Amino acid sequence: MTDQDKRLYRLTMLDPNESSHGADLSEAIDFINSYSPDTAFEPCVHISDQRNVTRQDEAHSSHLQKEILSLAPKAADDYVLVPKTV
Amino acid sequence: MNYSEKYEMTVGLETHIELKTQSKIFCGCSTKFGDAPNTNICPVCTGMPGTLPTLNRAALDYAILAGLATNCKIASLTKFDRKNYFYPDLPKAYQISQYDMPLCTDGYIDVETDGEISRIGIERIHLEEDAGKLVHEKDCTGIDYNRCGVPLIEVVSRPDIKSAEQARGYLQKLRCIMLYLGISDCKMNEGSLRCDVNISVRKKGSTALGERCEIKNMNSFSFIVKAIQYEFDRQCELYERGGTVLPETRRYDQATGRTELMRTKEQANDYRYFPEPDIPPLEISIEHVSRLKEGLPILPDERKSSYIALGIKSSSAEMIASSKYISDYFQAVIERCSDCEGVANLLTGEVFRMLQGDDDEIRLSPDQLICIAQMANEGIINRSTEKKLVSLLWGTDTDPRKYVTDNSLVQINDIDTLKGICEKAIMQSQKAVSDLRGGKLTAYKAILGKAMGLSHGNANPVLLDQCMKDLLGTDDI
Amino acid sequence: MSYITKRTITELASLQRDGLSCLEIAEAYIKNAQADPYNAYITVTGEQALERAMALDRIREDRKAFPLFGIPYAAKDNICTKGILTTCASKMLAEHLPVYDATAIRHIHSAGGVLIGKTNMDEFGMGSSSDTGYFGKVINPFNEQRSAGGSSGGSAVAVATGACAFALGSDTGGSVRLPAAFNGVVGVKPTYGRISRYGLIAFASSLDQIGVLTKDVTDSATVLEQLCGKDAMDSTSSEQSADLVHALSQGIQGMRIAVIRELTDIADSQTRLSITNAAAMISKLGGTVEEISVPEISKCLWAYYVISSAEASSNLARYDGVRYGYSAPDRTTLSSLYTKSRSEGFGTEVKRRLLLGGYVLSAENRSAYYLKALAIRNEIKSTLSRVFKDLDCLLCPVSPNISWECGFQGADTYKNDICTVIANITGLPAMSLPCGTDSNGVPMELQLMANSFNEQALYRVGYALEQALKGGTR
Repeated sequence: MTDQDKRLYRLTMLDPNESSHGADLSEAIDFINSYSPDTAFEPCVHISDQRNVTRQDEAHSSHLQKEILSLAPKAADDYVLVPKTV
Repeated sequence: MNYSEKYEMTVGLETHIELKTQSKIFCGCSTKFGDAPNTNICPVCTGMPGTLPTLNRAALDYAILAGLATNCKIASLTKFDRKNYFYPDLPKAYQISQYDMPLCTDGYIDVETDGEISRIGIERIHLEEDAGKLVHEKDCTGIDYNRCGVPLIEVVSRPDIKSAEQARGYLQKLRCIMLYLGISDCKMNEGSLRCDVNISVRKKGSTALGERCEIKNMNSFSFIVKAIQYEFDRQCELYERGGTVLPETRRYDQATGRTELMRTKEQANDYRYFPEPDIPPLEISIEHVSRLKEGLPILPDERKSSYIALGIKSSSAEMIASSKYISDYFQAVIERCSDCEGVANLLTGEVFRMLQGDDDEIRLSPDQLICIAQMANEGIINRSTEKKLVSLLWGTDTDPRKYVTDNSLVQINDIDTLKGICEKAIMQSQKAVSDLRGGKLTAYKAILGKAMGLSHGNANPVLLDQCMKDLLGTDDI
Repeated sequence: MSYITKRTITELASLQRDGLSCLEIAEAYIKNAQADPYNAYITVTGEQALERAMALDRIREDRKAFPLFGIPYAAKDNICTKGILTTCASKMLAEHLPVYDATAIRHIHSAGGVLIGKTNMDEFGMGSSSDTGYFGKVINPFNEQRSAGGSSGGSAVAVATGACAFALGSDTGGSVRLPAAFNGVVGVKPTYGRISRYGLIAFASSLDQIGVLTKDVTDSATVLEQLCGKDAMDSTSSEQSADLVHALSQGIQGMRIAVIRELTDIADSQTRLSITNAAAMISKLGGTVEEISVPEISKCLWAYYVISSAEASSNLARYDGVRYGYSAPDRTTLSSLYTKSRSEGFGTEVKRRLLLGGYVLSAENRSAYYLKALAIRNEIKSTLSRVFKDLDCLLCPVSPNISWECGFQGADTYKNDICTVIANITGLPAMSLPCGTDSNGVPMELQLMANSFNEQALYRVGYALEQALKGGTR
């Protein structure tokens, strides 16, 4: 796994040698790579018994706007703030 | 430098259209545009932990309508997928979209450019959710989640577009169809219609396609045309110099009219698509599609054909049909009168001239317009007066017939009266008459113009001309 | 445990009829919850629970309308409770107060339950020992040297030690059944779609289900019935109803049960003995037991890790320090905010799974791993569907090993999940059922699995075995 891949997840291991349960990332990848099972089946994408689940097109307020904004680590004037993107 | 002798462009357009459902695609928040920031939000569309999406059936139906109106095949089985990437306007860090089983495929729309009709293929139409809006301040960026979760359809054309004007024509037609369906406002200035351009260039006669670039950030049809023209030149110039065009995403700068590099292909995201497990798949029955098809309104091409069948010329029919509003207005005209050609001409001439911008209303009722056209047909007023009446009566509910009589605008058809006017005009145009006798044929116009002026513009122009020629004894002007 | 906290829900209801108040019940359980010598709880909501108990006491004449009237329960800390800390045992959500209640919480509340706290777990549900959490590990009350099991370790321990009458957990690869087994309580993961996932903080969306931990099978049926049903907020939830309590005493005459050879073969000797004993008991009670071979089982674990990591990597991408949760102090750039919030907010095991998930979903690997895992899922579903045509129930271990020591190392920890992941991969219901203790007093358990939406079979067999083990007649 390259640094580029880690960047994809916006993750860095704080200590690259850190391991828990003795199984570090390379062991997990080895497990994935070492076993190459065969199957002739199509991918099963959905496990629930449901199909065609839709809802009526009706608008209503959640009445939770203030609560949601109050969870943001940084917010002002009703906007959630982040460092400048451009 | 005109490169179009040597090179040709291949253009494909990806258009995002906001659907005007009441609620968002995956939650019950309102989709209303322009509300105060972060007022139309809930735990689902802000990606709170533990929340799940629920699909709005109107969004699904609107998307199917869009597919039907563009001659697409509607999938019998479809699903959603997650498109994963990080950006502040994307609360879940993934967008619920459709990847390999889009709702609609293999459609087309017919576009008229310079009198020629081309069929532009539509590769696919799929459903997805919109992201939030970013507001940039001096030292930070603010996020408004109101728009997050508004339903979008993405319409991907085949790379069948061959010119900037054709691109404009395609977008206008697409927009027109969506307005006819009533599923979107398609206002570029409000963001309910957005378009990215994919363009490559190759030497004429070559079969292989050149490397293509994606252009973003154009918020009007004319900027899209300009961007395509600029990019075409840029790529041609590169090839002329022996350089290579790299597969890039470029940003159109409205101020400079140029495209600039945004990111290279290597920098592009791997979206790690996988099927959305929280939304069960959708089996779309033939019956459901048939029901929607039956409910389709008459679409622009059909309306245009029906106008042509009424005797209206093709270019006028096209102009009227290309706007749902004008077309609806014209439907009201057709219901009230049998000979609509005159009204069609007024609509596509004077009325169009009076309208300011796409949202302006026609400030004359169908009855008023019919009346004006009828008076002209009956010879009560001349064509010049007919045109003037449009602007004179604009915004009033005055009866045109009454106005004409009250303001002495009735056309003068009486030969004796016309003769008298001509004689007067001749008397007042001695110089022009002698110029005419001297062989300056263009002087006739001045004399005729004088006569028309003396009649306060009411003279029947054909009869006036005949009278004048009789009096002057000059038939061969 | 006091007299009250030793009782089952059925017994507590009976005591209420005899005059025991909700307040007395709540006080007894809250006392244990607050003492918490095993670190089973992250948050105890003592005051609110007492207020709720008193409010219920005021309407006690209407007691019968509430199947869980005044019964104190705990919820795993990945289930959203409005205004009450819900941390997923992670630094990322260490101060998170949800703005809404999970549907499961609302159902228990409507049934009269009294929430007394949120239980400890592995961070974001990733682990089988409840030792990766930000607030420390859960201690096994039977043997401190042993793992408490995970990831719903706190819930299992709380039920086992009388710190609540029942608990909600979540099960993605065995996270309700395994800790239940290690703590001698009944743990059930229902069919996928039975219980709404709205408000369950997602780990792996197609594998997660809320599960129930109780002292006995009757309690489990009582609680599960209150949780099942279609929820408009969860499109994967099913409308199938669950009539379980009435089915319990139907007995198992004529029921067909099978043991999976491949799973018994890898089990330790104690576990194999439990299975043999259970099989004998089933035969005595009128059921039939046979041995079947399901070689495809061996592919399950691989498919589970690919699918769960992939879905987790996407589900946990939303934790970025922007709208809620831990936000890194370094806000110099957007990139630093994202990277530092996530790197500092998540523990190692979580990060490991997220990176693995990204790996199996990447463009070049997608077909080889992710799509293949989904195909294997299909294969196993199909196989078990065929198997259940002729069977009512499967009997197998919960884990190949009866339990393991704390800090057990090695990639083999992944392999311990082999018996439990089958039910998650296929969406089938499964129960882990106590069957005595070993010579060291460590609880032993068995696992029962049934066909989709056939929880009735699970409960019938489970109840029959439980009664037989107690020495009672059917």
